[in-house]
Amino acid sequence: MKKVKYIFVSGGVISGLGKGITTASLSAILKSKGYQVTAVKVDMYLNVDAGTIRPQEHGEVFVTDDGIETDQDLGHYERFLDISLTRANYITTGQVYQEVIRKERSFEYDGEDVEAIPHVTDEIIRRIKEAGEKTQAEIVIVEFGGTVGEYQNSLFFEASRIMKMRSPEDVLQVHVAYMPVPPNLGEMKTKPVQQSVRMLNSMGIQPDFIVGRSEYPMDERRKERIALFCNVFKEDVISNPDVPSIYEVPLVLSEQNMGEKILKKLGLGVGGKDLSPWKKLIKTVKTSKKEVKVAVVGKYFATGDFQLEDVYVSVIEALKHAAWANERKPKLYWVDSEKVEKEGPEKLAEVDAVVVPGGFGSRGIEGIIKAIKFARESDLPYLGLCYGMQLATVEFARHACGLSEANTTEVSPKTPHPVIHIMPEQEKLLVGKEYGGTMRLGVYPCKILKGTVVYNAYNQDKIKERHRHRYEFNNAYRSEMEVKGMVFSGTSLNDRLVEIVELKDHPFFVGTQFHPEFKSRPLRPHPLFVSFIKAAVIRK
Amino acid sequence: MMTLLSPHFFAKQALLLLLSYMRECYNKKGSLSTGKKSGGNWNFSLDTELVLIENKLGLPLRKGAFFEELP
Repeated sequence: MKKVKYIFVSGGVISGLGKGITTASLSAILKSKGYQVTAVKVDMYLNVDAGTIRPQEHGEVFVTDDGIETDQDLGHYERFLDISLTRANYITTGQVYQEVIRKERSFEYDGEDVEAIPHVTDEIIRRIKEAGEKTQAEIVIVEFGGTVGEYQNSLFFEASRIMKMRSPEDVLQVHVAYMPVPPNLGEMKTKPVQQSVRMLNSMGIQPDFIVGRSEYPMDERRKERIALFCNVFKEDVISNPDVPSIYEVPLVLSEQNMGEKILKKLGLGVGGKDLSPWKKLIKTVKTSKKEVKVAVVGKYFATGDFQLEDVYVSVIEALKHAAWANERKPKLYWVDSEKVEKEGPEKLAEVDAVVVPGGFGSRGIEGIIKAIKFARESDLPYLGLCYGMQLATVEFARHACGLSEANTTEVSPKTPHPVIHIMPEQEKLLVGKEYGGTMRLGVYPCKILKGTVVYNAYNQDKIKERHRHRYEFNNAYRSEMEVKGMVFSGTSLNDRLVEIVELKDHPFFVGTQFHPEFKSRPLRPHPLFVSFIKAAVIRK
Repeated sequence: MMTLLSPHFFAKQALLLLLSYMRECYNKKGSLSTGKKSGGNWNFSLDTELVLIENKLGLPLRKGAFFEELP
């Protein structure tokens, strides 16, 4: 049996510098060399998963096939690696401590004094190795969230040091650090990287590679300085400048032979495959001149460390993939639903299509409903995802079926027409305050009605998509809405749960209870998004 | 009359005045400190912090364009 190799990716100087994209790009490069690669995200928070964290705090909650609510970086890994990851690919401090305390309570440590080292570090190592075993990976790339020097991630760094000490030829350390160019100096500074590497050194870790993230490419002089002060070879200092598309990063790293250098250090052969599909994609990105304009309508909310677009990163990426598949340049706009509420939806006539992504709460929903009504009545292609599907049925019930007070019970618990209501099993969970990981999560099968818009998109009568919801369409309104022209084109296999709705006599009006955006990949765009953008292009 | 003279009333008016001023400055310059149009995360965060306060007070003073381009 081959020995599994491990690459740890840590960050320095600032957070949010693109460690996730660097990890994902590195994974894509090594995969292109013919290796079985998997990527693991380690988040330092005490939450067991990302499901209970406010989106303003955390950005998008990405859901895997097996239904764990994770960090958005897993979405990047899936998009770059074109594989489906599992709960083994996501580790949090909360999961580690929960397991260590469970073992202690069940006497699995045989009365030992349970300590941070070795018991917590051993649990971290066990989980990292498990991720490799479950995915049968030859190379496991582990990204540490946060930056070096934070108290809360020190045990994870210690675990990586122990792994390197035990098996030096199988473990590599890649440090991604920010190199600022202060506007008053106009010169790239290496000192923050040097300080960051010193902090790593103080924990007994010597990076094998240093990836310098900056606005501009790193020159030879800077590479020499980093090599000298950080004790690495100059050729192992890699420049990772800002590029127009994140999908260009594998090419940027590959041009510097980072994949070959890593494989050589790990004692692995350099495969013969190349990155030609990525090169082809980037060519399309750069040569697609005709635009397709898509408005994403939702409530504007304040964010902490994350930008608004981080909350909808998979939707935005899926729209881009589909636009490129249609050889169009995506022009995506955020439209604040509260603005639509006050100013009216008429300006939406300026775009080619409208998306309402997943959401929550009551603020701004009347604006969303106005936008949906406008799209429905003016034949503007519409794609509603999760909440966007639910509100599409509310809009249709109100304006096409004459149920003017129709609503979702999430917003109006006492509505006389609860078109969307909570699933009975979910209601029990909420009464018991069982919030964590209890939504209807992960992949579920869905049967599709032949001859519908979605059937034409998927070209299949049975699909599997990822879910994250507690509320569902109320079947009491199904026949009434069917009579008025709503088509229930996708349902669960037992017919109980409405999964997809669409409209007769509309070029593209589709709402999905699931999240197709989670399964869209740059090299394999999601068929529903591709059809949606195609409809937008035809309308144009 | 008593309501008009209450400290709460004055405090609220002062807060609203300050908030309106901050929003006006932000809408004009895109920033309160540098005078530069936004482009950095900090300015974006400031904008959203203002939105948070405005939402709490039920005062949507944000005047972003109808279409805000996503990167």
